[in-house]
Amino acid sequence: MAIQIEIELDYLKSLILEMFELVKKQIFSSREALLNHDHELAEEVMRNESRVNGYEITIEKECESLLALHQPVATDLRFIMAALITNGNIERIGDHADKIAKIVRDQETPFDKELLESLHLKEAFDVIEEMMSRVIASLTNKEAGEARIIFKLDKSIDKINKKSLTFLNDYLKNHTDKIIQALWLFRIIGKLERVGDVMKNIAEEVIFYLDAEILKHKKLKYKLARKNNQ
Amino acid sequence: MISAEKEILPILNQQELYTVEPTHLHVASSDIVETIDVNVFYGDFHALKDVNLAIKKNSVTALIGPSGCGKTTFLRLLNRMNDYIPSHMVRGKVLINGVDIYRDKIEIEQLRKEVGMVFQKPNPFPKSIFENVAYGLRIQGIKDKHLIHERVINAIQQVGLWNEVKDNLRKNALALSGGQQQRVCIARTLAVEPDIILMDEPTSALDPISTSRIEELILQLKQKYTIIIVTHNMQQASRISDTTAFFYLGELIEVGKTTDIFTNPRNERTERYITGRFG
Ligand SMILES: Nc1ncnc2c1ncn2[C@@H]1O[C@H](COP(=O)(O)OP(=O)(O)OP(=O)(O)O)[C@@H](O)[C@H]1O
Ligand SMILES: [Mg+2]
Repeated sequence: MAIQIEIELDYLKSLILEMFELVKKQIFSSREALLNHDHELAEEVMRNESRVNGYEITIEKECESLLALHQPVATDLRFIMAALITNGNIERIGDHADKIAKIVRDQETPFDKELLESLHLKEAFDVIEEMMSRVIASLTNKEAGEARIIFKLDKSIDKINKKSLTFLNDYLKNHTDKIIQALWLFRIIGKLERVGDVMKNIAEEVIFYLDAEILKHKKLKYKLARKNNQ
Repeated sequence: MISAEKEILPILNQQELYTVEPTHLHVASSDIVETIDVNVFYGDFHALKDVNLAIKKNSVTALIGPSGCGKTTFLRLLNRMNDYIPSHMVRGKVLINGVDIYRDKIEIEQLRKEVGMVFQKPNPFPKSIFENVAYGLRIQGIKDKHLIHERVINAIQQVGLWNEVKDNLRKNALALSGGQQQRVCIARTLAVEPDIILMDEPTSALDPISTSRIEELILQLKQKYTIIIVTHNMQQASRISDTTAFFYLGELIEVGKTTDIFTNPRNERTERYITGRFG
């Protein structure tokens, strides 16, 4: 027989996973809208943003009542703490998808295909989606391995971001007519880079929940410890 | 004169520098209670199995675990409260302040003075508040009226009961509320100035307000005493203890810092117990 807190924790988990899937779809749709100059899809992403916010509020309430009524400890407590922080972070990813969709909707002419390709936008989106799938799998299977891969994946987004700057430096010298488009796309890459960072935060929380290991600011702590030992 | 001062002062100053050193020694000897491979039997029944537990001075240790796991048995082991049970047998070492209380020659009365006990149900005697608190001192044979008076008042103040009872210390203790009675009993224990206070579910019969007053009291008392408390209330264990020990079927399954036990226990049985998944 399942005890009440288990029922509620399962419910909380299902909410987190549903929200995650929804935001993953938002990212996917914003990519499709961008690559295909699909205004209708962009509008749909913008409409769905309120659903994402709805999840955020529901999850926060659920965490609140679990904390107040059940005084959770150990793995239960870690899960609720991770859920709270993950909740806010998924919502931020949803925001980014919404902003990207707005940029797409405001373009009268489609983005230059070559420019899109040279900036590796599709790849950047793909990496984000892979990150999300892995964290979802990690949560579903209660296995931290998948979440640990996020840190590597994040590096490839950083790379795309850096490369885009050197590429644009040369490209814009000969394509002054594309400056505005290039600026918009550069801004989108910046957003994806931030989404990568947010996914890293989420992965840290998931690992904390599953393995009780605190990764946050680990490098900083390590540096401080070394400094103190000197 | 002046030259002597000149010679002595630097030495005194130097000594001050060295006072940092001995803390190391202090840390090494700060275990006030230590059990080594302790086994307890009630006849054929093996109630505690190879229990090794060290408890630091001025700390609060919570003993948790399902009913019948041996918490009370462990507590009573520490002041030989089970001696009167004929079938009770102890193997292993129980060190209190470094003295093996089951082997070395000790006076039971002296042990009870060092290791006081507070029970689950408040158990005042049908006597005045004053006499209840003075009880242990009289048993010890203390006759000095001034000393008794001082200790009794001191103890009543320590448990935060002074303002409530100062005008009728001659009132029968049984006329007090449950929470007040329990504080009288704690005062009775404190009056003999023990080193260690054992508490067996001291708040299980009390309402939330009396409970939180006793919890506050415990936190204050640990400045001077070492406290070992049995509780079935997980929140209470996590609120007031520094160390938590989880017992199961006579075994000490896990002991550690309370924050670690309640956020990340190492043993799966501990985890299942504190999260309420047991049975
Ligand atoms: N006097 C006794 N004679 C025989 N068996 C005893 C005696 N006292 C305790 N026991 C047995 O020893 C085991 C441990 O008892 P103990 O009272 O230490 O448990 P506990 O952890 O304090 O339980 P609870 O939470 O119910 O107070 C139990 O199985 C109990 O039946
Ligand atoms: Mg008991």
